[in-house]
Amino acid sequence: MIDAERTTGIEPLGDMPWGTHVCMFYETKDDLLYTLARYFRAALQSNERCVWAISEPVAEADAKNALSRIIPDFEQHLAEGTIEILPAHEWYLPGDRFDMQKITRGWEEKLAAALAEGFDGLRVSGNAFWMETEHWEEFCQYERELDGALFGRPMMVLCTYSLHRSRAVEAMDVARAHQFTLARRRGEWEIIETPELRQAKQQILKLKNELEERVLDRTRELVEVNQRLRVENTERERAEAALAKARTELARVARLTTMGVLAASIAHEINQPLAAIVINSGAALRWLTNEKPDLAEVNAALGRIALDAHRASEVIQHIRALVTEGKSEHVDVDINDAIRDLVRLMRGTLREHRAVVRLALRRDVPRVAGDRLQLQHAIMNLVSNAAEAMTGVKGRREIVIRAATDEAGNLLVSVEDRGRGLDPDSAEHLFDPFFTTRPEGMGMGLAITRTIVEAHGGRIWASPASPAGTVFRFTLPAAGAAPR
Amino acid sequence: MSGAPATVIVIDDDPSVREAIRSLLRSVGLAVELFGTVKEFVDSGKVQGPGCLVLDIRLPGQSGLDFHDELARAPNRLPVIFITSHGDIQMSVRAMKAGAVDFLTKPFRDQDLLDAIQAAIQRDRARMAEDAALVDLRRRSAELTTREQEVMRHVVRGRANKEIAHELGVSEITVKAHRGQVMRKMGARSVADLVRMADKLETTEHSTPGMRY
Repeated sequence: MIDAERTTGIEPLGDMPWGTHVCMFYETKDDLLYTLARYFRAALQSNERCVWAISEPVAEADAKNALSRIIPDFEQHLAEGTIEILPAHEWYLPGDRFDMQKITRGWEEKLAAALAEGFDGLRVSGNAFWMETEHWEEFCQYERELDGALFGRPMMVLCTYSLHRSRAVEAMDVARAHQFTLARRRGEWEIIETPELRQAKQQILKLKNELEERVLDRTRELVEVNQRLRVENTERERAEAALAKARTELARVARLTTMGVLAASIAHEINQPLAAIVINSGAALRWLTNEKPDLAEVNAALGRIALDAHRASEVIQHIRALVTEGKSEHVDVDINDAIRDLVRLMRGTLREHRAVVRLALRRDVPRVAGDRLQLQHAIMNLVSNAAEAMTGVKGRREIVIRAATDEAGNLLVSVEDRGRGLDPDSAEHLFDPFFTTRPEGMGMGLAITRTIVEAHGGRIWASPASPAGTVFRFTLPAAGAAPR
Repeated sequence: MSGAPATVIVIDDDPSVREAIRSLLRSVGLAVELFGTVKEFVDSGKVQGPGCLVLDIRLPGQSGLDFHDELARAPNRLPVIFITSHGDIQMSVRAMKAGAVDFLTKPFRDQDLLDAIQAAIQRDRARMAEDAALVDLRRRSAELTTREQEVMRHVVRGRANKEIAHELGVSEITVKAHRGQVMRKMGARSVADLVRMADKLETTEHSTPGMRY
């Protein structure tokens, strides 16, 4: 309990640690008794052994009176030896001899005994009466040494001096030998610090300030780091949001480009039945209004009109399916069905390139989880690419689209052309955005295809076809299976 | 309209469009032949006039425009009406430059198609009549003797009988006789008429009237 603060019972001091060595100048006997009674009462209340070395002007009766007045069980403490009142002269100057080591030893013995009996420590007060004695200098040295000896021991010492009897020189000596110098004059307290203490206090204050500054600096750094982290966090969140937005945008653009690429084809698909309807209705009217109306012909024309109207509506249903399924939802996709629908919609484009598509779709291919339109877009780019690769090719311009299952159980789709084939330099950059071998090409098709395939957990690659041309293959994990 | 009945040849890969056109044309009394591809048409060898072609631009195999380019290079071409469901300016310009009668974007009004067909058939009949006249002219010209041909060459250049006689080293009377023969055989009513005939023969020297796909 060395470090614990003790209640001194002296108002201006408050709580002080063990090892405190205080001197007090008093003006009147009452000043002295008032202070000492409270000093020891605090000790008794804190399980400390007390020793009071008294001398003039305090007699033993004065001391006991003063103590018993504010300590109700004083007699008991006195009887149990918790407090000891002894004549200062006998303790400090036995046989009128001042033996510093003997006194020090004496205190050590008393302290050891107190600790052995279960006290927290030893509280001492001695009244200096030897101002007039020839041992003054020795006593001053003792006080200084005691100051050092107290360090680290559960002991507190209060030395009392009469103001009237002290000369200025002596008072200075006394003050220098103690950590604190108190004065009680007619009921009023004064407290005087030693320069060392003040210095020490200032040092402590300085260290404390430095420490606080360092703590503040560190806190500031931590706050800054924290702030930075928060900013980085916010930025990351923003980047993630932007990425998500970009993905949605890509899906939207992909959908629009799909629609754009298919627009010409779609126009053709719708205009064909519309043209037939208009011509048939014209024919029907003429068969009716001819000089000899031919109702069989009218009937046949009306029948064809109905068929063509259904055909147009089917095309529109396909487009609607394309648009509504375009909401980037992952659904179970029947790839064969998706491919057939796509090829149907691409008829115009294919006709323009004079390319024909052969489908080799195995019926037992796994279903895949994905965005039907995006997957169609991915395949559409490969088919457009294949058709363009065969521009200028003599003979049959055939594109073969296959769907099968690979050895790992994934869906494997391939698009093969009979075109010019790949040169090794291009093969490396084939899927890079803006890479194109055609002057009018944007170079986005294969990049978009790869993005879509990879977003679906798949892989895409190209290799030369036999005997000529290129084959693009991609895999997609089967629905329900974990992506590879 | 005169002469043989006209036949309209329709080449479109969409069967329902083909059927509709056939019905429409038959309702106005036109004969129709339908083909799905250019190749089917060429293979059929059916190119008896008068008539015209109704051709879809986007066809499997050879496209309508490419086919039309080939037609344009051949003499006495069959008039062509293009129909398409992707009308674009570039294509129609190319088609009209190549001598197409019309360029119709699907869906077109039935009357527009009929008007275009009538115009095309008229053009074809006119061409056929011209062809027939040329054939007749060549036949007459072939009946001339070598000497008569020589005399005709000089006459159409505006030479007087005296000059021709001097040139050919014959008498003026002989020239006169040959000249009369030429006018009679060629069926020319005047020298101006003969000049026109000679012109025609010269400009069409290398063409073959009536040649068709």
